[in-house]
Amino acid sequence: MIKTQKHSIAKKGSSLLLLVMVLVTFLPLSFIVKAATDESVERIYDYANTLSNSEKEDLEELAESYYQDTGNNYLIVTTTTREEYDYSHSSSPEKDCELYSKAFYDSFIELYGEAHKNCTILTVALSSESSNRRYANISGQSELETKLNDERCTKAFSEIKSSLHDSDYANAYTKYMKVVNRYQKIKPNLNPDSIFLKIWFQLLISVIIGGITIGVMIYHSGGKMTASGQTYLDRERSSLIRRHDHYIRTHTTRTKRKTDSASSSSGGSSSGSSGSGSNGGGYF
Amino acid sequence: MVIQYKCPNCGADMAFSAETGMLHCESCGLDENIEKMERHQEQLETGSYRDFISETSHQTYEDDSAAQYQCKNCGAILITDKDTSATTCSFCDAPMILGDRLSGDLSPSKIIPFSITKSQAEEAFRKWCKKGLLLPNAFKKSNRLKSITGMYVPFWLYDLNTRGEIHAECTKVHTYTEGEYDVTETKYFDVYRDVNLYYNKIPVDASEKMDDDMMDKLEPYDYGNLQDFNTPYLSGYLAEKYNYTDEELFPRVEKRANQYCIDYARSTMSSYSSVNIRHKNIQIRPEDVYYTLLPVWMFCYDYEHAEHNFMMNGQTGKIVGKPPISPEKAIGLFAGISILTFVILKVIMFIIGGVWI
Repeated sequence: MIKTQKHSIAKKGSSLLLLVMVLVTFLPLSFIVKAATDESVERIYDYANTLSNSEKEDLEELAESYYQDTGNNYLIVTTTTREEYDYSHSSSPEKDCELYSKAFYDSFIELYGEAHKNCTILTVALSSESSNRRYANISGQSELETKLNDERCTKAFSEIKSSLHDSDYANAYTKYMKVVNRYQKIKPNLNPDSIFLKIWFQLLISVIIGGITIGVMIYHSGGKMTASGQTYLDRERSSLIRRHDHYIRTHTTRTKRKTDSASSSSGGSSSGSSGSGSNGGGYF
Repeated sequence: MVIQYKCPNCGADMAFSAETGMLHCESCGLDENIEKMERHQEQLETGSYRDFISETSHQTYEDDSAAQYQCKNCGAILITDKDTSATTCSFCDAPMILGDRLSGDLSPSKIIPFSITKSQAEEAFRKWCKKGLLLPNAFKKSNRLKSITGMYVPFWLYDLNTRGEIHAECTKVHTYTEGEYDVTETKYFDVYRDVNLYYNKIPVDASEKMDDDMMDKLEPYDYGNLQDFNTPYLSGYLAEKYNYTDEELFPRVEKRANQYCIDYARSTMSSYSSVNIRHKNIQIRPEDVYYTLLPVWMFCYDYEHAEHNFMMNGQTGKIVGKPPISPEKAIGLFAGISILTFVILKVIMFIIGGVWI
């Protein structure tokens, strides 16, 4: 009887601790409450018809919920012609895509105002002639230009590249929103994919530290040896009679430092032309 | 031969008091300074060993495991363990010192008297139990303490000279960057040390019954209070004679001194990144050895149908033993520390990353 009671107390205690842990992890998120907007904002501009109606609605809902949480607009624009917005064409299709994206952004701001200036834009340019020439670009505007710098834009692109390649657009767009939403929360000087930011890694470290501490406590629970050679050493009579320290040789190893090449792994290109926001993208 | 100290004032039995360090009479409160008392040991040594064996009832009953003594106080016959050299009469509780087990080869040369009284020991032990984070709650209950016994445990204290020659290969590692490269530079050194070390009074317990590991953990004793042996110190306590001679136990102290010598040599190589001992030649020579009785409080604890034994250094109060561990508490503490670490990690990541992730 007493044992069961104790057991349930211990159980209650541990579930309480679990609750505290969950609260500490997720509580701050609930503080970020934004006032709901009256107007409805369209954030998905699927000129290339990559989505079904229901997929588009789902994505609009998702983008809206992110907007409610963060005040950021995660926009998507798809095109085959790159003619929906006005911009002065350049010689390279990649550059054109960036310019198109910027033109789209300007029109979006014109429509909804400066209050909606913090945006990321996923521009998907499908070629009308051949499906092999498909290009996508992610860019960050206004505050999100620093939060989602070139490197992170490129990283986000590489995250969704395979889904885009498989023409699994709905999935790619969902992933894009999730990824940029995660990246924008983390200070720009930090690698957003750092292992230290992964919950499983943090839990693992915590469990290892807890385990080692308890292990040491159990090992030392019966008292530990505190006497050493120093305890019994007669310092007056003891001495180091002779010593030598002869240098023999030196062994040198050189390893090339890892350099951060922003887009080489994704095979895309990136450029940070001033005033046009951050950019990262490539063919898929 | 049984030695019992009677109060010169009232004739009651006298026992050693850890509080005053003197022989104390419970009945009239008289304290007698032991250092001024005649040393019984010398008396014993001058007399014939055979004589006092015949004087006692020793011969009437003896085998390998027990011997029989008669209490001078009440006349009761006491059968003792073969190793006991001091005890109390089980009938009248009078302190009895078995002189024949403290004479000749068995005569101790030094003793550290008890500094902690029985009540202090009991209190300290209860406090220690309370502090035990992993001890089961039921274990902490005071009524589980079955007995507390003060015992002088036989030790050999060795004075040693250790001469050691040690050859080692040591490295110093230096890392720096050069252009696009990380460079690791490892310098190798041939290191030699010749040390001449003297160690004073390394204790090794000479009792068969005592757990060697626990006895080692009870160290260190403060030798500032190491006294020449005199039998009144034993009055009122248990004492044992040694089971192993100093020669038999020498390998144990040799092993320790060997390690001490290596530790000392290593401490002179602290400027190196790594030390790899290639060759060592250590010679250990005993300079002196003292048969010494050291004070230990023994606690017998009853928990879940098993007895748990704890020992306390009777001079310093250090407690050792193998306490039971409460699995619930261990798991709870493990979870607590893990959660705390997790929260700290989260806070650190919040400071660095600017977000709760």
